Amino acid sequence: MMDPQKVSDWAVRLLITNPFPGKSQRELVEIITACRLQRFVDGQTILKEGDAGDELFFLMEGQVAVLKNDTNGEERQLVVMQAPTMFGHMSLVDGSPRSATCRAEGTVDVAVLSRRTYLDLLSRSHPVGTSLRRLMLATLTRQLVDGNARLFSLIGGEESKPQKSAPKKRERVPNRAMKKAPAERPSRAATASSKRRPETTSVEDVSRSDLLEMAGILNGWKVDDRGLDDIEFVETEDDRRKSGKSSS
Amino acid sequence: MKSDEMGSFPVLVSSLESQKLRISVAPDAEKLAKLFLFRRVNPKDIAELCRIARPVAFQQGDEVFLQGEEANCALLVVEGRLVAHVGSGAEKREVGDSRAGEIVGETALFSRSGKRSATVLAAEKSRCLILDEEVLLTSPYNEALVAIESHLLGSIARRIRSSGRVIQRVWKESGTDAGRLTVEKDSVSLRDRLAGFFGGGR
Repeated sequence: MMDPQKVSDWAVRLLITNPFPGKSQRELVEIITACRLQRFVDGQTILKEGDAGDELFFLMEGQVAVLKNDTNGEERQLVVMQAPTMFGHMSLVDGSPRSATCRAEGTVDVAVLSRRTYLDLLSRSHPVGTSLRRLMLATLTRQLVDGNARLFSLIGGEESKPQKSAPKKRERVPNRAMKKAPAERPSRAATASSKRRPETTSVEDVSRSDLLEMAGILNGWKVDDRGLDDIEFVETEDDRRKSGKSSS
Repeated sequence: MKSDEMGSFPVLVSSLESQKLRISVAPDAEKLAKLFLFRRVNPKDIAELCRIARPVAFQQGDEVFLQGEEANCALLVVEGRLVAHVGSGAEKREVGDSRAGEIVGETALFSRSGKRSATVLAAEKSRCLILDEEVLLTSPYNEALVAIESHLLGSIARRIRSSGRVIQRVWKESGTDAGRLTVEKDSVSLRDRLAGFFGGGR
């Protein structure tokens, strides 16, 4: 059993890195309470690339290396994750195989959330279920938004500069909605975001390292080594089906 | 009895208020209640969602979102149809459309730093509910919001997988000739290949 104070401190730190609407330390602690705690020793594999995933991991203490095989079948380290964070969540959300291997670097303590408990909590309209759902949504959204931002900065910045199309009207949501309902105040998020100016981006050639970096952002593991040009992506049955190839 | 009359007064007021509520939100609530997304949701929760989320109407051709602008709310389509496209001029490409019960611009609900990844126009006269952080915080356990959030978990995960699949495909096509690849005998840059998929470009 983990020290309650440690869990509580961990929850505070996770909420700083993974904020979500209505974020609550108490509910996050309850989610951890619903998990099974597990310790891994240095070098022990926590999850393996290509395997089916039935568990989500909250990294409570220690460091976890993220690895993928290269074209020669050799393992290459992409990044080292530090506590507090979560990993392995993509497989739980959409049933896809593990996108990378995760291995303990030193002693690692994780809280393991099983698919069964995950689905049970997620389906409820109570505080813990809502917090878990929103933690997942905020995490996935961040992956998608960061991935898109990186992508569009690489291919010419279409996302970072509003286009000059020829619409019939220039009134758009939410500005018009705000004008229509003066009693309603713009949210703090809306006010803050409206003050930010679009960023300009430079257009440089896209490299294979850039592609790997984007894949990493989308999958929730950010690559910190940009010299990995020969990493192998495991093609799943789903990938083959969607790209029109047969499995035989 | 007098006490009954006194006692019934607040009930009457409450009844009138709830009736007024039904009158103002009933058209949207009734439409939403028929949607697959809300098939298991208590009608009272749908009515509450219609009360806390502001409605907005568009005429055909109205611009709803603009690609690249700051994103701070999502829309739940109640009726009509919105279309999303990326790129401009000759590069303009439709990437999807949304009808009643679908959510547009959903990343804005859970990220404060996002920008619109596509321009969205009203393909026909449409009516939507505005979903933003205030709505999420006002009624966090509303069953209609639970249904929306559960639906979004799946759709955002699918978008991640779809983008990942494209990147993986370009990666595989590129071989070891970093920076360029050959598609149908033409050598194109990785950037142009990605732009072809995602609608960017110079």
